[in-house]
Parts: sequence; structure tokens; C-alpha cells
Amino acid sequence: MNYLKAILCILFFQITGLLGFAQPQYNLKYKQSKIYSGIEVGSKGVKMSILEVGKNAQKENSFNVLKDTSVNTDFISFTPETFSATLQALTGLYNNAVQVQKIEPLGIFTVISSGVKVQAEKENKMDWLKRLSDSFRIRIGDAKRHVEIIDAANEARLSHLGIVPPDRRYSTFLIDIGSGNTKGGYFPNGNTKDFKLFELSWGTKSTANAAEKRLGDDKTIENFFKNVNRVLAGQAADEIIYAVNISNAYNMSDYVAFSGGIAWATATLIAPELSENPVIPVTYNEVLNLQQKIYKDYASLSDKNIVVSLDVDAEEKKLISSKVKIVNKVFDQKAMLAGMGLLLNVMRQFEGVYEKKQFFLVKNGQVGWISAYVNQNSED
Amino acid sequence: MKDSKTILLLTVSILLLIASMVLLWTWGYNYGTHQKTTPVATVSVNNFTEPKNLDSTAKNYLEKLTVIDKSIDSVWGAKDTLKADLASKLAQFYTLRQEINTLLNKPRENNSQSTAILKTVQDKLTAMQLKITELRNTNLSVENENRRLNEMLKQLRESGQIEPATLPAQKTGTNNTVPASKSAGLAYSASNLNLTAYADENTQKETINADQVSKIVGSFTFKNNSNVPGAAEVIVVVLQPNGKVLQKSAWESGTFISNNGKMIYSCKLRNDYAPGESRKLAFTLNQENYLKGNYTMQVYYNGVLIAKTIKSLS
Repeated sequence: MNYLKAILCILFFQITGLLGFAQPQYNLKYKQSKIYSGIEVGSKGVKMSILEVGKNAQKENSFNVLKDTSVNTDFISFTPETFSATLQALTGLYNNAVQVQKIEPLGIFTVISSGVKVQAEKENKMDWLKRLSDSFRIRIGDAKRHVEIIDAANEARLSHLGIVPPDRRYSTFLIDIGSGNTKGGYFPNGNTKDFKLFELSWGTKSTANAAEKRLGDDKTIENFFKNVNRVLAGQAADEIIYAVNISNAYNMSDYVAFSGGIAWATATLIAPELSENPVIPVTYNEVLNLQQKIYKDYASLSDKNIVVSLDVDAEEKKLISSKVKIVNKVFDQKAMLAGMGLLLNVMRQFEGVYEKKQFFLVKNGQVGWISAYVNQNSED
Repeated sequence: MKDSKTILLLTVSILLLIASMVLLWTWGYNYGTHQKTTPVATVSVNNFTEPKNLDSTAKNYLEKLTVIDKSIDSVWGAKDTLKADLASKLAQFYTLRQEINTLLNKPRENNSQSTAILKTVQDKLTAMQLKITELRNTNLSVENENRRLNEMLKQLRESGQIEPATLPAQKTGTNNTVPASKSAGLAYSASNLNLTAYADENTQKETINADQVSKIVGSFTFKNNSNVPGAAEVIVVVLQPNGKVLQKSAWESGTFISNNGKMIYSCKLRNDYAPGESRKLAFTLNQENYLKGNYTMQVYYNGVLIAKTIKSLS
């Protein structure tokens, strides 16, 4: 099924590529900027981001996501079918970037993410990555095309560089809450070479799964929420406390920024009026109140109910409504409760009696590292 | 004849005497034997042999009695062991007490380093306790002050003397602030509000031409009117001509709850203030494009609008 979807997507990109003659009209944010593309082979599939990078990108992290497309190919299954689907997707997206988006090959960056590398190492399939790169080069007819394999530490480091503005670079601890794990870190020594990596084996999905396993016959939301809290108060809490303590991030950071799906969902529901902002400052209590609302009054967080209370014009209401709808589609009530439980648990480690850290929720964290990669490799 | 009668009487009386003695002996014997065989209460449990015709309840009781008896025996035996243990523990206790006494009586100079550390720790603890008490007091006074001010505000609003939405800046036009007298009742007040547009990011070339603006700089004086020191967070909202908030950056702008509900703010400025202290605060807002029209700068404290000014760009 994934294979078929991938083929259809590629066909679509190829056809639209053939039909395209001029660069599409993007809603650009900066007066002086350049458009780049980052294509990433991830665990789930291949993702292409079209970025507008401002003239002060090196200084201010001024980038704007113009387009974000992905094709699910499940590359880490390492079967001939998924290999072929991934290769097709990679080639199709690259051709789309060149032919439709009219981006020069020098402005297109192709990488293989750390998740793929870790899995390939586990299964002794590193040769598959080389084969993918070689086949891709042959398909696009560019023998010099560079396809870099990024490791976890470098990915976290690049995410930090791409997401956190330079004036807060050395005072911000960035934590990316994924579905299966959590990773992040900070720059402890005032330079961007040394990076303190932070990792947890808990993510949104793994927390929800652990709670689900404990439910028994009582599948109610009350029982689920109770068990989420039990999971987080037990084994997860021990790991979180330990990981935060050994990271020394409490002493070294003024700001704690969270990225990942649950951060995006929480940010969208907490401050729907700031739908255009890529980052939302929040307090522990704001997140806690939202979690209680999700538990006790989930219906009030529907797109219709949210926009009713907003004092914005009809056009903005429509935009906000579509964004809230996507959040509610991606995360159901249980996933929200589990993810926010994990988020709150990590936040709690930074809620000191005398010193509280300022928290931020990053919405476009998924393109943070690729934007930093683009920035790093696009010296004008 | 007389003699034979006397002998007969004597023989009968002797026989009667013997018979009565025999009877007395028999009764005595019977009484003694009865007393020896009947008393069940004196049966020793140890030597008890189970009668064949006892019912089950009685049997249970007897079994329990046997167990209890055995326990009593074991407790009796254990008593001696405990006694020995107690004696040994007591000995240990006395030894430890002796050791502690020796340690305590040691000359202080041997422990000078640890004494110094202990003293420092004690001092720090005392200081911390004092700080906690101070903080509690400050907190209490701030709460009281807040309560008092809220009541005052309420009274002023009820009497129509103050109206947050229509401050003097709006009445007089482009660039005004709240007079000190109006905000005197508040814990913090803002004055000398100024919103300036600059044509160049690096030089201080002022402009009112929207097309030339590269940055907007706002400034104002924020004063602590109370006699309580502490940190205060002042929120600045700069509204563009289209009614949207001009944000400093995604990392510095957010939402807050004001008297008028949830609002977006341009930036937050947090500082510590001594009683009566006033500080000049400034902020810079950068945006790619600026619209023509009125830019309104609002200053909020604790969700209440305390000052406001307007700047026009043509």
C-alpha cells in the first residue's frame, strides 16, 4: 500500500515537474532572501522542505518554511519494495525541486537522517544506504551529488542551530519529544562544536502504549489518564529525573524549548491566535490547564469551539480553524494526554522554587535541523 | 443366776461396741476412697490421656490447650535467651555512649575544619531561614498591597474617575502618557512614553515615512510607587494600523490575560525595583514592512493598562 502511494506521489511530482516552467509564487516573508530545498530520507519516508532563508540567516535564524511535503516509504523495513519506493520518492522529490520549484541543484541538499542510520547499524544494513545514494546519483545523472548521513548528535546539534536564535544559543536547552524517544541538548562551552546530548527512551507514542497496556478491561479515558500518570510517575520519572540531572541543563540554561509533534500540538491549542508564530512562550501552568481541559472538556478544543472565542477576522479564523483541525486529526484525546503528560514531567524538572525557566514550544522543529544544514552549507 | 445374766449383758454390749466400730471404720474407708478417685479438676494436662468417648469440641479445646502449653514452655525457654540478648545490647549501648562522650569531649582544635564548615552551614541555614521569612513577609505585603490597589481601582472605576480604555494619550493625539496623578494610586506607573521610528538600523535617523522605517524604538519610565521592593514584569503591546500586534520576535512575544481578555503582547520587560525607584525602559521592534497610519503603544502591569501613546507614520 505504501509502495503504491509512493509511486502515485512520484508520478504526480514528475508530471507536475514536466508542466512547470516558472518558479511558483511563494508568499515570501523577507525582503532579501533565497530559496533552498532540503530533502531528507527519514525512518518513515522521504521529506522535502522548501525554505526561504533571509539575508541575516546566519545571524538571526531567519528562515521561513514555504512548503513541506513527505512520501511515506518505510525505508527502515529494508525490503526490496521499500528500497525501491524510497529511491523513487527521493528522485521524484529532487526532480520536483529542480523542475517545479525551479531551485538550482546547488540549492538542494540531500541527507539521510540519524534514525535511518541507527536502524541500519542495528540490522547491519549500512550498505543499503550506500546503494540508495549510488542509485539516486545514477537516476538524477549527477555523479557528484552529495548525500550525507547524519548521526543523532549532529542532528540534535543542527536542530539547535536551526531553531534557537543566536542570542539565546548558549542559554537554551532544546528538547525534541518524538513518538518513540526524546532527544536534545545544549551548547555547554559557548561554542557550537561542543554539544551536550540529552536522550530519553520515552516519547509520546511509547508513553501512550505503556498506559494502554495497563488498562485491562476498563478502556475509559479516566482509566487511561490515571494510567498515563502512573507510567509517568514510575519508570519514566526515574529516567527523566536522572537524565535531566546528569545533563546539568538546569544550571546551564535560562530557557527550555520543546520541539516535536506534541510541542506543535500544544502550542497550537494554547495560543491559536499566534498561529503564524513558529515559537510560543508558555508557562508550566498553562500547559497543565490545557491538559486538564483535554481530559475534562475535550469538546471545547474542537476547531469550531476554539475560533468562536477568538477576536480575529474571518480569514484568520479560517486559517486557525484549519490548523486546529490538523492537530486534532494527528493527536486524539489519548495521544494528547500522554504526550502532554510527558511534556509536563520534563517541564517539572525545571520548575525550581526560586528560579523558574522560561519555556517555549517550537512548532516547526522538524525542519529546524535541515534549515541549519542548509544554512551551514549555503555560504553566499 | 444373777452372775449368768451379768455375763450375758456384758457380752452383748461388747458385741455392739465391736459392731459400731466396724461400721465407723467402713464409713471412714468409703469416704476416703471416694475423695481420691472423683476430682477431675486436679488432672494434670501433661499426663492426660484422651478419653475415648470425648466429643469433637472438647477434643479441639484439649488440642489448643496442648499447643498453648507448649508455647508457654518455649516462651519460658526463650526468656533466658532474650535476657542474654538484652544484656549484650545494653553492653553495646554503654560502649557507644562512652565513645560518643569521648568524641564530644575531644578538644575543639582537632576538629577545627569541620567546626568551621558546621558554622558556615549553620550561618547559611540561618540566613536562608531569614530570607524565607523575608520573602514570606514580602509576599504577604505584596498580596495585601495588590488587594488594596485592586479595591482602590474598583472604587475609582465605580466612581468614574478612571477609565483604562480612554487614557489621555488617546484624547490629546499623537504622543502622550498617563499623568502621574492618575497612576499615583497604582503600585507601578509608567510615564514619558515615546515611540520613535528610525530609517536606518544603525544610525539614529528618525523618520515618519512608513516606507523608510527599518525599526521602531519604544521607551518609557516605569516607577515603583510602593514601599515594597521586588521584581515587576511590564508588558508592552504595540498595535499596528491594521489592529494587529507588532511583535518583537516569536521568542519574545506571546499572549497574556488582560482586563479585556486574552491578548498578544509585543514584548515583556522584567526588572527588580527598589521602593520608589524608577527606570527608563526601552525596546526595539523590527519588521520587514511598515504600514501607514497610527501605531499605538500600550503598557500593561498585572493585566491592567497603565499607559498609552500613539505614533503616526505617513
